Amino acid sequence: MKTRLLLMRELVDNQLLDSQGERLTKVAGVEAELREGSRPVVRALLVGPEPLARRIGPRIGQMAARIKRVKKEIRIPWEDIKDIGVDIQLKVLAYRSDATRAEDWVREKIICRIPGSG
Amino acid sequence: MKNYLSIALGILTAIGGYVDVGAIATAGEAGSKFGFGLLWAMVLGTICIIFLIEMVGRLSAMGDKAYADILREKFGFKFALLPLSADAIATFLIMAANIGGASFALYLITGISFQIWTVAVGFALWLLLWRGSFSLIETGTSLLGLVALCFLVAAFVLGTPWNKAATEIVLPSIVGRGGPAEYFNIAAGIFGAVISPYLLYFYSSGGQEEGWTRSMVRTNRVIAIVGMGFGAAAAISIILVCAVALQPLGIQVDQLQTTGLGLVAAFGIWGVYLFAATLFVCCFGAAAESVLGFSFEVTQIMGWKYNVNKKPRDSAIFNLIFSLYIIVGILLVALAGIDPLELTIFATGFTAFMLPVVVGPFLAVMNDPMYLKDQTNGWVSNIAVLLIIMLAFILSITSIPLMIVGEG
Repeated sequence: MKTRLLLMRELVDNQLLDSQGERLTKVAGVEAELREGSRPVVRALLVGPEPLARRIGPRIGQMAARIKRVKKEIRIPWEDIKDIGVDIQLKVLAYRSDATRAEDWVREKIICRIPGSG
Repeated sequence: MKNYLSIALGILTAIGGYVDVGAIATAGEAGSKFGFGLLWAMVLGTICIIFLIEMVGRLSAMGDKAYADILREKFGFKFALLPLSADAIATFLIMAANIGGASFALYLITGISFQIWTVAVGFALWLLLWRGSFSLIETGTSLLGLVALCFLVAAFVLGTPWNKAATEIVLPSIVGRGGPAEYFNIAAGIFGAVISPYLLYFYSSGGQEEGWTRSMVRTNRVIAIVGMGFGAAAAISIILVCAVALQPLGIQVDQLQTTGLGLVAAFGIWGVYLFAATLFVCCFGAAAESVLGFSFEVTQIMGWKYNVNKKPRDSAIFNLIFSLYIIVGILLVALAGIDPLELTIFATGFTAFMLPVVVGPFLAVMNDPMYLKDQTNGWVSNIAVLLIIMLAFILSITSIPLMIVGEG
């Protein structure tokens, strides 16, 4: 795997796939660690409503941060990444990554209750 | 064999997307009010959509991704919100107008209020998308959609003066039953009806669902030209028929069914059934395509799962989006009783207004070797894109003032 990446072209907004190639979501942001005397290091990829809202603007980001009861930011640790090409593939399955909460919620609470969904 | 199936995809896209309630309404208005004077708009619009469809299909085959996926990945989340929010409104208007159009066709045959039919049509549409496969939606509508060619037959039966029509494509006469503001308002409406953004999302997603690869680049070109040419033949014929049959009598299309009078002039009472069948099939197909196109767009921009062929539980959000849209669309047309023609005129005007956001990114995307490898745009396509973007900006700036002046 490449060790030097263009942050905005190769990470942010790119497609996340699980270990079987299932679509999860797109990367909303990254978590970087600043270290004195050396280059910053990317620790994790961020997905979810809050990092996405922050992309629109700080005020919308604060509004998203105030929403209660929902997990607003999901962190995908760098160790979970298997490969970075045009898409970013993870080592784990969709349900283990925690990145498909919206899809899961809609499926369990709405779609499965409508006849003919399965 | 697979290529023939793919050509069917193109023809469906043409029928459902090209000949929809917008094209039928604006073509009918154009022919009945200005004769052959607006044929050029339909021809120019067709050339634009052929280029756009060819490009978005090539992108899908080479980039292994649909157009909306690339919009997000290349331009970022913030930019993608622009086409997303514009399409959220446009799709809703277009879908509702087409559900209205299909219901109106049933009203013409049965005499039962079209508002009641709206519920049945909306439910049938939802059921088709909920349970049906992509190929069912595709082949079903493309075969049935051939009925739209009855307008072409009618143009022959009515003895269209072909030479005069051909001359006016190049040298149109603006003189007709309406002022210049109305003339250009209808022209903008024709562009808005023909260059439908949802067509681009639908077509590129269809390529993904069918697993297009490099081998499809050539077939894609054929599909774009044949498919859109088919749609254009039908839509241009509507102008011809209304110009020949209605304009001399001073009949103006101010209701959807007036367009059908042209078919009655050609075929007698059968004209009514042919018109109702054309209106129903084309509107139903367009309603399906527009709402699917938007479901594709949202899920692709967000990176979620999308799939028409699999069961709804396998792509939950995708199914939720079109279900909600259809429900709200039914409520709007059935309860509020909005006139389908007025809704259509508004929808085409709004589409013309938002076109730059949709066609603008093409210039950058289609020249990016990361997605297109060795199949990036040549100079012909690039000049075409530039001209289309210019046209889109002119339409966008003029559409709202024209709507106000032209309608009033």
